Amino acid sequence: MSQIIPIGPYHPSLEEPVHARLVTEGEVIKDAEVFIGYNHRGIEKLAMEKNYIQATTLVERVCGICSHIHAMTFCMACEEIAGMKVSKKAQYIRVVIEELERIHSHLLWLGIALHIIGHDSYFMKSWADREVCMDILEELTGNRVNYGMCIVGGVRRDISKSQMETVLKGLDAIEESTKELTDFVMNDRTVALKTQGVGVLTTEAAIRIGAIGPHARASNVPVDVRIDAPHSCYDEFDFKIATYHTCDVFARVVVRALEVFESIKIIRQAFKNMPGGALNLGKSIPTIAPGEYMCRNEAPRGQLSYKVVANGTDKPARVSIHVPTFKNAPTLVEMLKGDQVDAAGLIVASIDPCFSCMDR
Amino acid sequence: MKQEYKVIPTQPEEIRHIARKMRKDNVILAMIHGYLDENGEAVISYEFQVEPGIESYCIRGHARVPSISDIYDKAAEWPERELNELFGFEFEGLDTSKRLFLPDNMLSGQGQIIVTPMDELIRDRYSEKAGDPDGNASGSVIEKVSDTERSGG
Repeated sequence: MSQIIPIGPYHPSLEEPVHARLVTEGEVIKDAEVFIGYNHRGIEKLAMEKNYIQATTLVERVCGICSHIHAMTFCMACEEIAGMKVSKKAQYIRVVIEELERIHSHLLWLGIALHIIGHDSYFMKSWADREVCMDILEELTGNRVNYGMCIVGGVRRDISKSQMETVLKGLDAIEESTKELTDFVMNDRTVALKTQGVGVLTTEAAIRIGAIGPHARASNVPVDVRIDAPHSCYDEFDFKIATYHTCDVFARVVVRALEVFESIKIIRQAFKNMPGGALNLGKSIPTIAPGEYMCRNEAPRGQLSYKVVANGTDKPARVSIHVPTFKNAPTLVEMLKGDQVDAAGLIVASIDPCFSCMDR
Repeated sequence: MKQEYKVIPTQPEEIRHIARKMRKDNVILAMIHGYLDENGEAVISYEFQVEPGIESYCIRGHARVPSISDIYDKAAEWPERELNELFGFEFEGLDTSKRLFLPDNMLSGQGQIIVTPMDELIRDRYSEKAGDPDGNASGSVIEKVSDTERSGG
């Protein structure tokens, strides 16, 4: 006999509001529907009412985890329309903050995944490592969540030599600790039992539904904006994208753990080759000539896109924001089908969802 | 390094053929964007990831176009439903019986938040809260908001 089991929009295993309606037979999920929109804040509408400086501050608040990448992508779209040349130094500083953000986002997610699996000691360890990353971001930007580093035309602050040394020391500690964490998740029996073969999204389904970011890479789809369409100065860095072939929750854990090491590698290269030059093009309110551009960036959860339409004033005519969860959430239906009800919380969490960003 | 962005003017009757060809070539549909231009005309652009850039197939002046959700599954269905809710654009063949982002009771189920002027949204919101269908009670609130806007706060 079929039963309907609702999960969410507010549920202990969910970090953010989403509603999944599971059609079950016994303990097996036969079908699922996903409902979103519990946190729509009208940010796109608000952005059209603000000038470019105010809009940058606004879009940075779309997400409380990957805030910098929102401001950066918006600024890059505006700069492209306006034909502004951003200095190499500013581009490098943007990349450093972006990669630090990726490290703390992945460590946050690994902690949550381990918590759901039932390994609270490693959940706390992962979050303790993330704390080091947050301290680094606070040291560089003065803030722990909304860094305020990006402005249209460059960045707001420089990174000093002594700050670089502090960051590198912190990264050494994170690297060492993440190695231990990775060894643990790769070899632990409980992690294997809870994640291997669970929430499978095949490579074909990932391409068809349009999965992106680490979620797609865990389904063995090698997509990464930093490689496929290098923006900013990513073509100057040597790094690999991590993919895994098992297409399950385990693959998503492995891919995100491996990406932490690649991000550390990028930051070290950025500090080694940090160019000189101006930080920005001034801090006055820009007026941008009519035009439109869609800019893409690889956020911690996948491809983030901003379409900006300028009309020659100091306010954008349209800001269209699409976060990775908007592309990854539809894959949940495919992943939930055929699995056990008790795995549903972990499967939903395995896409590293940010439903509040998606609703924006 | 610059990400290429190529805008290709397109007619509504061409879009399904283009989508089928792209799908056959395993090209990812990055997004479907929409807005109203300075003349109030609908602009719908289909952004395909033809790496290392984007090919944007842009339909101007048509607020009703064929849906491609049967070709691109959810990758097209959710953006189409979003544009239907926020702008009122219509996609022939798309099921719009359920809401995606906005609650069913918002703006009496009419939605289209992006195209509604801000002062109307504020008036509707506050008159709803004050329980005044004529919106009279909200006048002072609108004035306060407008004053704040004017003073740059």
